[in-house]
Amino acid sequence: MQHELLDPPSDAISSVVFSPTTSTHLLVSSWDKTVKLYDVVDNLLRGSYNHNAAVLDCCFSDGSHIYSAGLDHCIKSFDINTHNEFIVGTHDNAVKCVEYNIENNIIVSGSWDQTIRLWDIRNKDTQMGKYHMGPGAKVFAFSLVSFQLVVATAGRQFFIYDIRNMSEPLQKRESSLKFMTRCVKCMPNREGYACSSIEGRVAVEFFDPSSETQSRKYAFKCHRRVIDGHDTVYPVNALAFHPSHGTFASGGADGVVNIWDGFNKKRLRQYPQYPTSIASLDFNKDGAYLAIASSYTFEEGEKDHPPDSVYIRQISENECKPRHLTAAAA
Amino acid sequence: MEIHKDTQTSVKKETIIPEFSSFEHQKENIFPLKEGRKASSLSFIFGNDSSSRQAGLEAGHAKFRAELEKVHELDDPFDVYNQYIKWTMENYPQGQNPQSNLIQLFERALKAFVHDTRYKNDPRYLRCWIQYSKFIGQSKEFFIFLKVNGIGMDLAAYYEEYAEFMEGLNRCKEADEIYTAGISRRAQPLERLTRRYRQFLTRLSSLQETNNQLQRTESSQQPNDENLQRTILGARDSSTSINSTPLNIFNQRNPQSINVNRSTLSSTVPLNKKLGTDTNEEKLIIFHDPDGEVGNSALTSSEIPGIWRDFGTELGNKKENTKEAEPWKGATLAQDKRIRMPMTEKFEIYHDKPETSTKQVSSSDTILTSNTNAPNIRPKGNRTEKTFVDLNIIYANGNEYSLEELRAKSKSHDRPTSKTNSVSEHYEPIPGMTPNPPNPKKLVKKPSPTINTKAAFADIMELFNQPLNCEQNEDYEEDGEINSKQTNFFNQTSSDPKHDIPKTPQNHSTFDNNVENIRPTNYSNLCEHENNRKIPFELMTPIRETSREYKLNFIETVGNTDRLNEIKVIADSTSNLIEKEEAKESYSDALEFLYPMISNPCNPLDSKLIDQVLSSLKPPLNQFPGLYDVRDQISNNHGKIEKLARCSVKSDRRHSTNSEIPIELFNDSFLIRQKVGEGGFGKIYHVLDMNRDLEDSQKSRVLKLQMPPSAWEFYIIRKLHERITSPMIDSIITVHSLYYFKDESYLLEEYCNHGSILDVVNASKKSNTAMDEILVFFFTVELLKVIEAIHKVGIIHGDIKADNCLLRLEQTSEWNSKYDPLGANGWSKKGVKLIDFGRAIDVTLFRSDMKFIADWKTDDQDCVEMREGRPWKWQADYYGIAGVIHCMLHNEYMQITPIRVEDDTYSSGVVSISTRKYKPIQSFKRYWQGELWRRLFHMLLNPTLVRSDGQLPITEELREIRRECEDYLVMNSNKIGRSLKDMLYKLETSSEIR
Repeated sequence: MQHELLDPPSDAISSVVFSPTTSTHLLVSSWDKTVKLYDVVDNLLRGSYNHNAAVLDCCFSDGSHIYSAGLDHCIKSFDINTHNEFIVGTHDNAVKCVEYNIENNIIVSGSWDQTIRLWDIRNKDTQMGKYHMGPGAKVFAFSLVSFQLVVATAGRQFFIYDIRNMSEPLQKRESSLKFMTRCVKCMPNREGYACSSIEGRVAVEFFDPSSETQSRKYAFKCHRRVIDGHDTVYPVNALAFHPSHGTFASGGADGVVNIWDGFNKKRLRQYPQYPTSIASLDFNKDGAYLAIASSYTFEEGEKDHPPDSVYIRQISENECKPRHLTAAAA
Repeated sequence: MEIHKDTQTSVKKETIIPEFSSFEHQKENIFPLKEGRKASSLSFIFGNDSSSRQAGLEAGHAKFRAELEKVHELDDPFDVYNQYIKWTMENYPQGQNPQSNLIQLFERALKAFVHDTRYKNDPRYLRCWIQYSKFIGQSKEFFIFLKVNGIGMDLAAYYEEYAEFMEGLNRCKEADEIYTAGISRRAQPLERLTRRYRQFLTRLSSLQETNNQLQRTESSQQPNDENLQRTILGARDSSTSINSTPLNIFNQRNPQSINVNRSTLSSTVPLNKKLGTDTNEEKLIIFHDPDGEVGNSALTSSEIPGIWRDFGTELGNKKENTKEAEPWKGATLAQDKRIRMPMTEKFEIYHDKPETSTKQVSSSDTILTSNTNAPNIRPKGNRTEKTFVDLNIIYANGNEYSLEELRAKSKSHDRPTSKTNSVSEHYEPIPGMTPNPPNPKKLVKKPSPTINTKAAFADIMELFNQPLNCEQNEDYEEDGEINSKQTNFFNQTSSDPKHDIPKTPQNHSTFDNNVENIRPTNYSNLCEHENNRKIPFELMTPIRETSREYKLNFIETVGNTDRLNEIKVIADSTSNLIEKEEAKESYSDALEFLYPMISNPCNPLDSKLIDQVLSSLKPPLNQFPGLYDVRDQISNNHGKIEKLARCSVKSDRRHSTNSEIPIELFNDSFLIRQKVGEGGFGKIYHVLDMNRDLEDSQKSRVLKLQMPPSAWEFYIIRKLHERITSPMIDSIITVHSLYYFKDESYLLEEYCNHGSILDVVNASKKSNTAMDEILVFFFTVELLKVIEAIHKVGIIHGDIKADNCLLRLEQTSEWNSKYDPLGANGWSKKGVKLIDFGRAIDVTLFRSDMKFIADWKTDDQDCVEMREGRPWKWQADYYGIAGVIHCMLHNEYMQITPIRVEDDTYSSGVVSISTRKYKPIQSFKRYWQGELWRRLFHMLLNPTLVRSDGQLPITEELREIRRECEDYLVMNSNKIGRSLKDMLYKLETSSEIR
């Protein structure tokens, strides 16, 4: 049960994000400099606004306010209802990711200028804090759950912050994966996070530094295919946790989406291959839909590639449930 | 199930038989039942929406389940099951599916009563079994099972069903046996059973009849037919031999074949005897069943040893060879033998063994691993592992670049992908170019102080361009920097006080911006600036931009003061025009005066665009000397000319000149001599100009007919002759006049009688030789010179190929055999002549950053950019020249192949990683100046890689390499036996004879 969104962006898709309030609203940011809002059930493009350059990430605060950022260094705010837009603030380099924190009502942004910045969304240009990650530590991804902020930077570093006290990271870790981090996503139960690398691996880690908890962490291989006798290893570009079951989806440059049961270390599903790399994934708020951005992610430089598209997959009740739970229920 | 005793009710029921259409759409989903289905229930099932139906079903299931709970207390427990089954079959017209679980229900019901004596001969129970068998597929085993367990042994239905099944398999003898057994057992209802048996016998005899006839006709007409049809083990002709035994063991399984019919026949012969209908003349064929399958006659019960207590379930019967689950403890799981880790180690120890290919890869990779931090292929067990992304790119120079950064760096995102401007400089970490972040305050539009018309105009302009103002502002801020950096025409003129060009700084900024960013000028923004500065109306129109650029090009290239003045006049007239527009304050008129908003890249040969350009020329086109603008007349001469050309070829042209009918074009008349060429755009004739008082030798002209008419080529050639002052103008065809009719146009050009380079190539190909390298060098130099000249004046030929390069071998009194690059000693008379400017582009008409897109069908002779649909500009000609040179060297059209660019070009950040390098497939001969040719081809095929900033045109670089070629020519032109002069002379004479 899936369909493709009509009127997709005209260039590569950088991020797909579902609305926290309306379960059918999907935000899509793209290298074509637009941020587009779709209704996935009506399959309708509801609106769109522009940046001056490619947009790398976007997020909702409530159902009607959007924040987006990209290569133009700006974080832009857009009101769906009034179409008011303003620049929340700017970084010194392209902004790779932006996320809203509901607990503090702030916007967090991470940039290739090696900083994380917090912004008060009630006022324009109110930078609440600027935190340098260290030399060369371009922010490649971060994820936020409640007060926990996990930042993945260049050099395979991970910083775990408490968003209320950003002066010092709570923990500083080296990635358990050997190669560049592509994506990090916090578990909905706030216990830990999953991260993926360009080299076909996903690691599941936990916040609690006690050795007992740390012993539970693991990493596994995925998104691989044998081509010409070589086990070809694809980057894992996207991760998304199911909001209620705690299982997660991974999307790779092989165009495959897998659903994993992190508790039992099992793969639950593998969906048929999509036309090109999976650039971004997101479950909607009740976990009934999975948005899948199939869009070439530049693994092989400039080349011809299938058109950029967003697929909406309807997730049936048990599709993403951990196995042992289904067994117990039966 | 419900029996309506009340006739009224049943009548009532019948009156409301639902329409077939109410469930027709579902008809494929209905499993047929022998007794049929009720239309009303079907329409009820398919008519209701799924949720209410689901609820009904749930309720039904619940009811039956409840009844089954207490089934053991009932007198007739099977009745509950029977009802349940009937209900299920009625409510699930699809038959067996996971929802109905019909088969499982059957199995449950049937299994419960297999050994219940009460139901041994219960017709309901038997019917249930039979229905079940329909779902799982009937088999002999099924009937045997029933027999063994004594189910339905006294019921006619069993025998009927069994016999029918056997008959269906063409085992009529057994069917017969079954019927007789049933009758002898007096199975009830006996009457029906005997009737069925009689029917069976009738069927049988009629079948026999037809078979006999068939056989008789066969044996009489085609005596050999039987031999033909005899299968593998067929024995002697059976017509005479009693012992004939068709041993075809397949016959029972191939009911379709004639042989089977026969064997059926033979097996039923005794029946015929019994019935006294023995019309069969044929001898009996004894049935033979070699594998004894049929011998186990259906009714001999002894074949089942012991008691067959359970028929099994459908699932169980389907399941084959599934191993029972057993405890894992102590068990060993079979492993794939190939994956054995110690083996790999062994391989590494024994060096004397021949290394496998994978081993080699892995060993080289270990070295790689130790050297670089990012190997792409690593050994992993027996298999190598390869990361899909190029780790050398990601971890370039000790830095780490995410895929997004790479994409951002890639040139492709400098190119405009949409209406908005790319802001590559915003993120590219170029030292010294740290951009100022756009200040949001600048976004606020200042209220316009002017009147309504202005606001309206601004609104109109807004429609044209959506890009945000902040980037424009930024450009403005960076203006100074760019000014100092760039040395383009505009800056030169702005610093040149001689020329009175109205220019404001903001215009300037836009211009500079255009150099880098190919995008329509942001008009509204301009207006805004102007509003702020209270300049009444200083809109910069593209036409003025054009005239200005045009002028600037002249300043740059021609340096001719006369021309400058002339152009100044043009510029002035343009500004006058604009002033007039201002006076009227009618903006729509002003807009009309503009060029259309040309997209960038554009199709340079777009007819609308060309019309626009030609109609807005200053001075107008019809003031060009030699142009006869008769667009109000229809000429329709092409048919006539074509006919004349054919006639004149037939007749001896030297003698029939006078008798020929001249063609009148406008006021001039021509004698058609011969068709010289034909292309997609028109035809080319050799004509004699009869008007001017010319000597015979100079009368020869070329008339180029074009349909539809076009003045473009005329315009281009005129402009070339206007702009090029150097002697190189000799290398460009001269145009005498253009007759511009409504339906066709005639371009009168000079006639060259030496043919084209293509002719030379073809001639040498015919004689299995190639052009001498010296000769190729000579023409290469000439081509480079002419292309330099036309590029300098802002013209792209666009269609350079061997057949568009004519030989220019004029007579000369003094001709030194030593080559002179400056054209002295007669060398200026020799060279090439470029023709066919139909695809030419006057780039001075466009903004300097304009690129072009080809909309025609491209082939190997078009440059890479055209073929790949990318925008191009000067590349077209470079590729064309390379093609011509290749043609001369190899006698073949050029084909190119991409080669890998070294990795470091990526990290330099300037050249995009997508840039590919091309080279011709054909390699150069060992004794050629390979190095020189290679460099030349590299430049011509990869012009964007020549300069570090990828800028075009590369005229200077080409001039350098041309000098090298000239030096080589000077050194080698005069070798004995290989003299350039001799070769050219040979060409001159041979081509003249042609």
